[in-house]
Amino acid sequence: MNLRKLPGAVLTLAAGAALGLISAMLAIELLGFAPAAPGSIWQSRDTSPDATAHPYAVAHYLLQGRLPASTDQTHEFSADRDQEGNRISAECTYALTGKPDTGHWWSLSAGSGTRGSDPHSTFLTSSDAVRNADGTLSVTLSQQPMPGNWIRPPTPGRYMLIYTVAGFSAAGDAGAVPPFTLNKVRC
Amino acid sequence: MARLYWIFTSLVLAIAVHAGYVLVAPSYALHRSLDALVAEMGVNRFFILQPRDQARLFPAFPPEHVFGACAFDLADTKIALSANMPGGMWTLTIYSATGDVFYTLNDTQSGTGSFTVSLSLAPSLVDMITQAGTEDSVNITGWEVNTNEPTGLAVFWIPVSEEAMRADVINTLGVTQCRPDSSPS
Repeated sequence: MNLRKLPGAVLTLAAGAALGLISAMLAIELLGFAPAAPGSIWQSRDTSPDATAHPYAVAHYLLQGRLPASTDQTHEFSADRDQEGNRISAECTYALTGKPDTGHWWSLSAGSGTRGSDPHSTFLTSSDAVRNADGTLSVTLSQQPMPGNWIRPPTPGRYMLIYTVAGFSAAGDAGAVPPFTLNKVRC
Repeated sequence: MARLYWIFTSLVLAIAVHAGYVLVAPSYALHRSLDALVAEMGVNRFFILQPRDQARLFPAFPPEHVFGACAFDLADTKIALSANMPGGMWTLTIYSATGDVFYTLNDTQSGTGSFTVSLSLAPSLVDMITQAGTEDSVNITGWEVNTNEPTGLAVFWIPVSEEAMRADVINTLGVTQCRPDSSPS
């Protein structure tokens, strides 16, 4: 090979390797991630073995040092935007409302979503949440303590909500879909 | 022509790096994570996950919840996982070394809190050809689980509503055994 062409060849190979690495990292972050229902702010990763993006969805959890939940037993959903489509920020106060199914165990938490950080600050679960008289649930997300159901976001900045639900009788149980809407109260 | 060759080579390299990263990096990350557990707790032995390991492996679950685990190695032996679960909700999830779930069980599916799950390595193709009667075997038969993955992690999860109940749940789950099983198949 002509030595004058060597730098170009090395550069081309390096570009190929970089392309493969970047596309893999993007695919792991984006593939297998779908809304829980049309128009819902809640999204989940399908880690079931027959999912088309199975290796990418599982890799997302493993690279964070986590084990993926079994889709037969528990479902995990996340939301990083409010109903208006704006990123959730710890500088704002939000009202989370909905009517979770009483037949399931569930947990709500706020996490930074970044590896190595304190992933979840506080938890609200089906066993300690206080429901309204009509069975609905009202939760305030705020840095300041609030009366009633309260979740404190992690460190200042953007964060995401995690909804974990378990105890369903069959795969595709409608009760597993997050029933919550998230609205900004103030910033 | 030479330029085409290098573009083609770089695309092949991109595909190889992409596939390599997706298939190898996550498994390596899990291996590193589990190696730390195995070094501390050993293989084929049941243990309650320490809070730091629980927060690392299952950060979406409240810290008062109880996780028990057994890092298994089926290369030389079958494993018997014997549990006596408390009343209420619980799950058992068995992961392969690559993070895939290949067996799950919960309180409603089991119908009992006391059970033994037998884990063993699936017979090889040669074994299946040479041993009579194996054509009727299935991968999962009741409490018998055959897998192609020699190593992995079995995880019990019990949600606990109050911190004060955690010690009792740990005591109950703590008698779970994960041990080599010498009984015939």
